[in-house]
Amino acid sequence: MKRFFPAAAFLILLFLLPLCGMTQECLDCHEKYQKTDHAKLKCVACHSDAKDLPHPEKLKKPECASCHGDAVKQHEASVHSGKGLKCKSCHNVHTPRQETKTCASCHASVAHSKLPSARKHLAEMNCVGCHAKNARGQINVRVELKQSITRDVLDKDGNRSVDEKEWKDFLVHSQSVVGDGYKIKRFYSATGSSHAVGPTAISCNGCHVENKVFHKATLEINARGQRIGMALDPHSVIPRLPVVDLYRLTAHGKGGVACADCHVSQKQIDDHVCAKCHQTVYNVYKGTKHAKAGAAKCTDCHDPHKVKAYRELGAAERVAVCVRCHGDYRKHHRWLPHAELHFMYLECSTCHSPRSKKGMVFNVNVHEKDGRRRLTRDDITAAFGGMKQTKDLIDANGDDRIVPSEVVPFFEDLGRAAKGAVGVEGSIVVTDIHHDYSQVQKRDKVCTTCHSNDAPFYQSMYLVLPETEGLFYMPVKGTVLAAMPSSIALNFFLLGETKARWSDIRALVGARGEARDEIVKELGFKWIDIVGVFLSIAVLVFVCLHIVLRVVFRR
Amino acid sequence: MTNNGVPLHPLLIRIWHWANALLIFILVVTGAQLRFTDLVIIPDYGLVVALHKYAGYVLTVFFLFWMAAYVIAGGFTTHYVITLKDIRSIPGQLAYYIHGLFQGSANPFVPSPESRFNALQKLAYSFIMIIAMPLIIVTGIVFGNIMDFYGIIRATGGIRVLDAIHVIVGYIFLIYLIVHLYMATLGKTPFSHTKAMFTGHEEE
Repeated sequence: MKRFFPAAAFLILLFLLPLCGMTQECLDCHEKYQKTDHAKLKCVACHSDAKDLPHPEKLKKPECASCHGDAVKQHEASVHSGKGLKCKSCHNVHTPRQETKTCASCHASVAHSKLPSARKHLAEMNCVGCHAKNARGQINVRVELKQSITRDVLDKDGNRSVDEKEWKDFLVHSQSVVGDGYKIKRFYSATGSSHAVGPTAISCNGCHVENKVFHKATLEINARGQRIGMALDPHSVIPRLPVVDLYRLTAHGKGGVACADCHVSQKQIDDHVCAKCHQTVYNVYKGTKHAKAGAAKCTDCHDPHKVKAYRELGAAERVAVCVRCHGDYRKHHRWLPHAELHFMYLECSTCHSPRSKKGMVFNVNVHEKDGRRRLTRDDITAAFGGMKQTKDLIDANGDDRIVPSEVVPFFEDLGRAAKGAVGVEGSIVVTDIHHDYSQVQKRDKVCTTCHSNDAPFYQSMYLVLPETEGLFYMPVKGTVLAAMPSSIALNFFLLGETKARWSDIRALVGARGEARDEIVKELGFKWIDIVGVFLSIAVLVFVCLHIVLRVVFRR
Repeated sequence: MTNNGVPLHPLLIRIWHWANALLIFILVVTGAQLRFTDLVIIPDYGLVVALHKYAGYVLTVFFLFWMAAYVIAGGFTTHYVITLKDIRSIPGQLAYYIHGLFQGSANPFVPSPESRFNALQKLAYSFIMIIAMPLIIVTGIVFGNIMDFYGIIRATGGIRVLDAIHVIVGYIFLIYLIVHLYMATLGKTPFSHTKAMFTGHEEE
């Protein structure tokens, strides 16, 4: 048996040999076919009726499907087959592969005018990435860092893969720790069969909501010679597109603005579309530096598809909007003490839009194990039941002002029912925006504009609470919040509001009964000043008395 | 100035004392303006912030210097730690300041190189140097670098609590300063203690 096997193999090879490569007899007449893509095959492999020479003048049509069954099947179901295209319309098997037609051979000038962000998409995707029905893709993300980094900064749960939250945390880390010294490049490559081109391209939702194409993403970090590779959740680097259901939750959606009110064409929306409703704002904005330089359209700063209205954004979120263009903002704020702290609690317009009205808003957050989130109406319902509106719960006596005896029990009850610690966090934001940012040279570098008892935002303070429909802004005195236990009012410091003033003393002395009790509570940390100044004066008086006695007794 | 009298204060401690005096004066003035922004002592607020911050850092260095001086030269236990004898002497010392002083009685405590401070001084100085000074230095450094210590600040009750500790200790320093300046006039003559802090020798 062992001796028979090599002999059998030799006979099989001998039998297959004539099928491989072109024979000299064919090349005698068809020399130019020597460099074809199919040159490794014998001519008779396709032209079976050319076995005997001379062969008939008209040969039978070769059956591509006998070797390329899948491709032919895909082609037959494709839009190209429907248009009457055959295999040979693109592939001439008697010419080198380089001469095979590409998409651009027929579709030389495809404008893609209906494709949003067309230039970006066309630069990063090839045709079949969107047009092939079986497209599958991968995203490679490369990050260049100027500082070294450890894996655990990225992969906090240690599962060797970076999920969406970890990626966002990393971006925040890069912003806050590394500053401007990092670059992110994303490479989107999707491949599919060019035979399976469908009648329409994949919809926007296909990638931006359902993520049908990009199933895999890799992350490569180069940090000063150190290289870290890891898997990345593709959702992290594919911008989410708002779907209709989500749009209904946006400020525009709630306001009854229909898609077609803005999307009059598939072209990008320009400022005139926004001006249809926001004419007054646009009249101010169109004369400003941003608009004149063509630097920013309305939608560059205001994303109408965001669920959160601009007024609902915290200071840090608003800073993130400006940073899209002003990425070098840290460089220009080196003069500012505690710059990072300011960026957390102040939006850019607080200083850079002198004509805007500023206010201090206090958002309520729940600090849970896996992070911080805004207080929702569900939290209120869990603590107090769903019968009463939030306003009626915090302003129990309905006098449209809240006092410590109302606000402290409200937060204590809320804290008991919530799954995490409830905390109030303040930020100084623009409450009534004036869209003129042209007065760059007049921006305020005077610390006492804010760091004083007369800071303008003390006149406009709001506690933001979730109501059944949207958010509810309750006007509040900062002193009321300052009277709250520090476990609740953990993360804010009211500049001048913790410092006692004469008006506090006068109010304390002048008040009687319950009103005085409220003032005593409202004084909160101001008691430090009151007691401190009183003791200092008392000691001075004692010293003066001692001096007088020494003079009297001549000692 | 003369070097006659009891040698009480070594040169290093005298240098430290007057440098500290200058720093604490700057810190109290700038601190008062930072606390009460209506009180304008120095018109440039940015300068006030910088003066307070860097004077605080220099004070920290001097505090470490003071600690090093006592570690190297010794004498901390003798001069700062309260003994049973000290506790027993408190009523007498108090009586002297409140009553005896006016009657012309002699100070029950006579400073010597071996024991520079009376019981009340020991109490005040050890509280200031062992409790108040480290507290105000640590809270001050944290205040100067809020983002670097953000986690600690949150864990300990937030900026308000940090501010409260710093300001309370600030008031303690202010009250201490008033008392200290006045007590310095209670020597043999109103300026004999001050002179001693320059010359190192207390008049006998």
